[in-house]
Amino acid sequence: MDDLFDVDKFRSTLLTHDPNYSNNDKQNKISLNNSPTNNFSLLPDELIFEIFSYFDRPFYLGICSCVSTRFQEISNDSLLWENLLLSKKVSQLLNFEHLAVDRFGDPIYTGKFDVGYVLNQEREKNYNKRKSSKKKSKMKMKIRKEKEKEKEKEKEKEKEKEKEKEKEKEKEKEKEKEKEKEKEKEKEKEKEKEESENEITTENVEKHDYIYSQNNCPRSIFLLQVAKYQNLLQEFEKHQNQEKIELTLNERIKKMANGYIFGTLYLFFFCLLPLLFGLKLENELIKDWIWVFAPAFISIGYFIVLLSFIVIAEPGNEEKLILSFLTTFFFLLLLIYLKISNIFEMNFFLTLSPISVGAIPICYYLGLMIFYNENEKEQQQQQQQQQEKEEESESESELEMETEPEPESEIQTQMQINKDRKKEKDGYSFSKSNKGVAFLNDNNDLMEGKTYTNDKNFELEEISNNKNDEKQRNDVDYEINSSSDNNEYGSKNNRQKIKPKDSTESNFTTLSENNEIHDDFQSNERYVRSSMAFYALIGLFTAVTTCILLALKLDFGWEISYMTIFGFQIFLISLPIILIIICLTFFRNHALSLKLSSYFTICFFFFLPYFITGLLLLLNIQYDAQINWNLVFLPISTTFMVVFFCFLCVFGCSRQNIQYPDPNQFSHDFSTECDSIEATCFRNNIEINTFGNQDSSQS
Amino acid sequence: MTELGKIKLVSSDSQEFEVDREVAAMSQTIKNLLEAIEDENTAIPIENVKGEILERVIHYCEHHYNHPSPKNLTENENEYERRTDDIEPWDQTFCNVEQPILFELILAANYLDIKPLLDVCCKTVANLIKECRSPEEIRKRFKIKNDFTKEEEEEIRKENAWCLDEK
Repeated sequence: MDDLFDVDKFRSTLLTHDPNYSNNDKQNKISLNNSPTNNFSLLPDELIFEIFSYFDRPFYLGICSCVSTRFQEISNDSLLWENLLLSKKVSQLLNFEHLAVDRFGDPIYTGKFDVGYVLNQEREKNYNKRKSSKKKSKMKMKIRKEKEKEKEKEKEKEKEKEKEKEKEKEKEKEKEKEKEKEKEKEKEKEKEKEESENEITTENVEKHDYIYSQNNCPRSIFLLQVAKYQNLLQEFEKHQNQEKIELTLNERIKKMANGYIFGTLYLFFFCLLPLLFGLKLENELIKDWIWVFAPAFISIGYFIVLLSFIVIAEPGNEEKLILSFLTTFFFLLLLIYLKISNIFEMNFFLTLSPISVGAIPICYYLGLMIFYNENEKEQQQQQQQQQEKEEESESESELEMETEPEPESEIQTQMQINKDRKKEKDGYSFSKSNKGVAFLNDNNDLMEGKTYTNDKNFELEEISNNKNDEKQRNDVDYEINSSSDNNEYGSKNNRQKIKPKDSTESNFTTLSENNEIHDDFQSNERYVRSSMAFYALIGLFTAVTTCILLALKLDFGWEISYMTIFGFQIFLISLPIILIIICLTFFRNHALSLKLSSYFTICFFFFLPYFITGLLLLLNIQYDAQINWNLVFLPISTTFMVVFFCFLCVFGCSRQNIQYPDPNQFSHDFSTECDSIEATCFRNNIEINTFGNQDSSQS
Repeated sequence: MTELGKIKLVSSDSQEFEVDREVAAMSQTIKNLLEAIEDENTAIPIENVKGEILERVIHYCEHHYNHPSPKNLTENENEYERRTDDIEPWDQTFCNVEQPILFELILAANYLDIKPLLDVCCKTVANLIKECRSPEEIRKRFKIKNDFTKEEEEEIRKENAWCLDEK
């Protein structure tokens, strides 16, 4: 510590060297040290900004904004907040526990307020004040009440109809249902009460004012800013982690491939079994029974393959596994019974065993398809509901537009006010959804068609699909229009946000779309898995049938035939699996190609052989042991299917290009984005509303 | 006549300081001036900086010229991350001065364009602010007048209730 700076020493040395250093200077120094003036007054704004930029918590900025007007102006700078909230420290500090969806109850009772909720209350309050016409508000209230009554009547009618039907069908369960209905009614009443309390009426305005005073707007403004930049940060990090995501995808594929290797190993042993039975034991009984137990062996192999998937790749697929295993077990029992009863000849088993084997993946596949159909139905229902709500809200907004136009002078004054505030304040609001939190600006625009969730698994994708883009643009336009209505008449969106459940459903169609993308991604993976397992079976199936064909057709002795069969089996089994793994590793998997390939596989591979086999059985053709056309047909169809699948994979991969935004241009894009949003605000005469009291006073 | 490789700096209160050319070149402003001036013997006037402050600035530059600090590797990790706890001990003692001097140093560093000095001084002031837990404390510490009206103050208190409650 010898190197520490000693000012006095240094000063004394300088004074000795410098004869110009006079006593007056010392006096000046003293006066400098004891200056009573504000030190910060010396500094220009840029330097104070520089000092503030070293704050690592929003708390300090908040405190500084309370010190003086100058400090307030500087500390409200958006750049400052942006840098602050993009720092890792702050992002770690802000967990957004208060934004967690599950924790949102009724804000009035829980005391936890959605920012959008608070802001909209403020807006509602201000708009009402600004208009200062009780007649208008009464008219609005009447219109709203009438609509609500109509809706309630319609609902009641529908319910009555349903009740009647139910009564006719289920008389025995009437009592229980009545109880349930009573409960439902009670719940509905409660909901209605809650809604009525949430609505801004002349009666409960005071209540909302009280709530407002309790939960101050600036807190929400801060939270909004935090949310905004937290969002920014999340997006930024996601862009940075794109490569990692891709890596994890590849890892998953590798795991799946491992599963198949595991399955293939079993198949290898399964191929050894007939060899052992045929070469060493040469027991006629075993020769016969091997075809009976073939499905059992295959099912065990299938079981192992699926088990490997469940353990390694995807847990939670047990139902399908059990389904497939049970079907196999059923067929095994059936075959044993048929064999014991000696009803049929050997050829019958040769025909039936592939059928029973084929039934396994069919059951699996049907289960999968049913599962997805249910999901699709649910999604469709949700979409329909959303559309209905949007239509309703649009019609409401139109009605309001027609009933109450605002004079131009007010608009002009508002424009001036807005321009004055433009530099000072940014207002952003957000609302919650069931799946996450999406962030809106004051216009409720979704930022450049992007949506955000708190779901970690959510894959952020720049929405390159034109369809999604169009939808979102439409949403944005719609929201801008509606919010402009809000500004003047302050009703629709405000009401929606005061009722959080409705608002989330109506405002975040884009969220659900993105979740659909996510679902597609998951379904994509599942299709890959199922189809891969399916093809593994096909390989086995082909190998077994082909070896039989070879054995019968070429008239080899058992020893030679099994040796030939063995090699041929391995080749046939490994070929499609290897091809599939190559396709999935080097080219990306895609839902469309896989779905198409799956459908074609079902058509070409299963139905045709089944049809032919069934036809042969029905016609009771005593076909020669050496010519089994069903068995001849199988390798051909398999080869066709594998080629078709590979073609679709490659074709689908080349067609689909997902474009990610450039992370380097991210910050620039964001700033321009904000500017554009603000511009649209002012163009549409929408107030960037942050401080309600000012509005009222200025108006 | 100045010695070889040295230049003369003149403060606003006409104090003269002889400094090594390379040390002075740590200031971007002086560096640019030196490039523009042909005659090496001409004294460079630094009108916005008092003698006492210039003296401290020179000392800072000399020290950091002789003891160059290693580049902070963490700076590149996150460009948004601006730390205040990474001030070197020597810099800490250097900045451990009375407020007016510290603010004068900031102004001087800004005028002379000496980024490390500016950073250190700003960090020190930021740390001083951080030590305060309320706006009143900040006002007292830095002798800042409260120029809000009562209404404004109430409003701002409401706005910033989130941070005022955080105590």
